Amino acid sequence: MGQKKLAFDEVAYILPSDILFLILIKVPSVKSLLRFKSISKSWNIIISDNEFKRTHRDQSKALGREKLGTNANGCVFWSYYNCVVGVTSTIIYFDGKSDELKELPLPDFVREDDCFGLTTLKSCLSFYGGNDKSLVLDIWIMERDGSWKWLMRVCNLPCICEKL
Amino acid sequence: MVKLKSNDDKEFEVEEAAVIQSEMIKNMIEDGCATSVIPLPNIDSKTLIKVIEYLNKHINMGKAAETGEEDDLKEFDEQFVNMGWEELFDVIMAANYLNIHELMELCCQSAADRLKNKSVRAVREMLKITNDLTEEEEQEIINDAPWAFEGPEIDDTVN
Repeated sequence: MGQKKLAFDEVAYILPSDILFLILIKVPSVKSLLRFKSISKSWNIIISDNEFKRTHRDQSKALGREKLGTNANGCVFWSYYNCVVGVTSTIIYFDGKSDELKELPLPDFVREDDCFGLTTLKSCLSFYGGNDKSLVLDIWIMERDGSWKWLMRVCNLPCICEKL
Repeated sequence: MVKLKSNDDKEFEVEEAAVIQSEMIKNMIEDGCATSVIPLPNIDSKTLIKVIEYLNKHINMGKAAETGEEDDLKEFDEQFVNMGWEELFDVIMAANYLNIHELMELCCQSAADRLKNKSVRAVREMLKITNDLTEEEEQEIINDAPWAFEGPEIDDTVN
């Protein structure tokens, strides 16, 4: 225990909270940040801070990462994908009925290197995606029971990822 | 040339064009306070060598764009941040103290990229952080967003 304490003090000395703030503000994934609140007291304080949240949101907006959510079935959906690697990551949604933020499991038709986006079609949640190599875009809509139905395919697009 | 002295008493000569990327030293020079050696009591020689390497490489940032050396600079940056956590934090602290904006951005972004998608356990181990939250506090954080603690992208490896 004594040794562990020493290691902690060492890092605490190296990383004052204003520096940790500058690092964490650059973590693009909101999901990662929510998880990192449970690292320690000081991480929780920094990430829970209103100024941190505001700065992170503004930065995400400036980088075009954050989009307004897509409204469907009484829920608001957001999709996040990694702009650098260009791979799919997560869909989260806010359920208006239960006031909860939840993660939507990625549909099983999503392949490893797909890019995707969300929109609404016929007031249903619609999922559109494709990958760089195939240059085709598939469009699905979510049925009332929560299952995905394939709607159509757009072929011969000049590019996929930049469009999304 | 400007002379810098690390906290372990080693002296380094750096071209003025390179060293003025540090706002702090630039201000000292402009105020006429940099006539002899500039002591840097917060920076050891190992870290200072890294910082000077960066400053020398980035000496003509503006020119790089014209001569098409941008890719070269990008590659240098990628290689530059390829260091252990402790060294990275030392450089971040030095860049913060010397107020070298670009270097600060580069290193903080590298740290953030390494942390992204890591599991709680992995971050604690990598950065040698002792969990000082009570069990209740920790559980409350998890209960607030349980979905943030599950997913195939979460990386439990330590590197």
